[in-house]
Amino acid sequence: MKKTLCLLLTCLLLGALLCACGKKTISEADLSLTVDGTAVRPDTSASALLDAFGADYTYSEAVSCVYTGMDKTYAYNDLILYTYPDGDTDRLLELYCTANVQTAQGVGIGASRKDVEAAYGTDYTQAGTTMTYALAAQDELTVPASLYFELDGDTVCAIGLTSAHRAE
Amino acid sequence: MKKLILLLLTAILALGCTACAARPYTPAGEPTGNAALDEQVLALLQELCDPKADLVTNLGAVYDFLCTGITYRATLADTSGGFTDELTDSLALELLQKRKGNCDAQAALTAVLLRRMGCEAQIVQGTFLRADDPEPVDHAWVYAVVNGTDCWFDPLYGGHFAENPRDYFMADDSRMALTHQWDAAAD
Repeated sequence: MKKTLCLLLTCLLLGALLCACGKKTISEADLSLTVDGTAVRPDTSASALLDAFGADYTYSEAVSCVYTGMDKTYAYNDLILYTYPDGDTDRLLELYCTANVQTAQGVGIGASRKDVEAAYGTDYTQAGTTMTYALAAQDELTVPASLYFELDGDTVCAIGLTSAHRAE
Repeated sequence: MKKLILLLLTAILALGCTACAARPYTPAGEPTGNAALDEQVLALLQELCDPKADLVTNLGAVYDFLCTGITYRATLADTSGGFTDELTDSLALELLQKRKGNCDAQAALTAVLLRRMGCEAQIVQGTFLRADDPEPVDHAWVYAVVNGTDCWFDPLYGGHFAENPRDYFMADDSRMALTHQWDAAAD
């Protein structure tokens, strides 16, 4: 009887421990990408990224449906930079990469869902084909920064970073 | 004998459970013919809609998802020439997969979902005015016929600008005319 109880308790403890491991949450340090050798963080300015990646992009802009001003996109071969207007400044909304990108934990294009979960845990939201790891929301007016992985089947085909931005 | 009765009771219970289990929602409209899109549309509708609920209740569930389940991001597609079926399907599919897009993508997905649910729906391009900006903003939303009634759906505007997002769910002309401008002759 004692042995059975002991075994049961060990199983329960082990189970709880494993659950806790999977529920690892991300920190600000996790929200970082290296793209073509350039380090990108959510607070990196759009102009700094444009300087780093060069002028070989296709530019498009449209009046924003949500923000006051123009939404601007800069599409390179393997990455797209999205900005949103905030007064006179264009702020980085999102960076979307399909090649030559690696996260701070070493996850790159071609990694599997399990690789992503091993690096960042299972505390993510799955919407469509995208796994998103977001920082906790600080207030209702701000959408928190996030790191996301787009999957083709079970394989990462794109990695993106979004900045904290006004919710509007 | 006891075993036989037990077996019989278990079988009756299993049959009862199968009969009680809810059948998945079956949309009344036609698929688009784009296999990838149709598969994802059906999966989403079966996730959101109650097979026992009426059309308007299910449309409400779909509208609420469109208001809250999509993150705003510029879309690269050029819609200045209007929405062909092919463009509508591709915008809707991309939005379903990535859950990110602008008004064009939201209008495309709204139209595709409404049509699959058996409603007549078409995308309308026009402008809206913001309280803090005198410049009209190019915009797209959806005109539909639900149970024989003409109405409007604009989940992007409802989700971002309206105090009550449902004000732009099955809205009538007078409600839309307060904030939106469009070419009524093109309806």
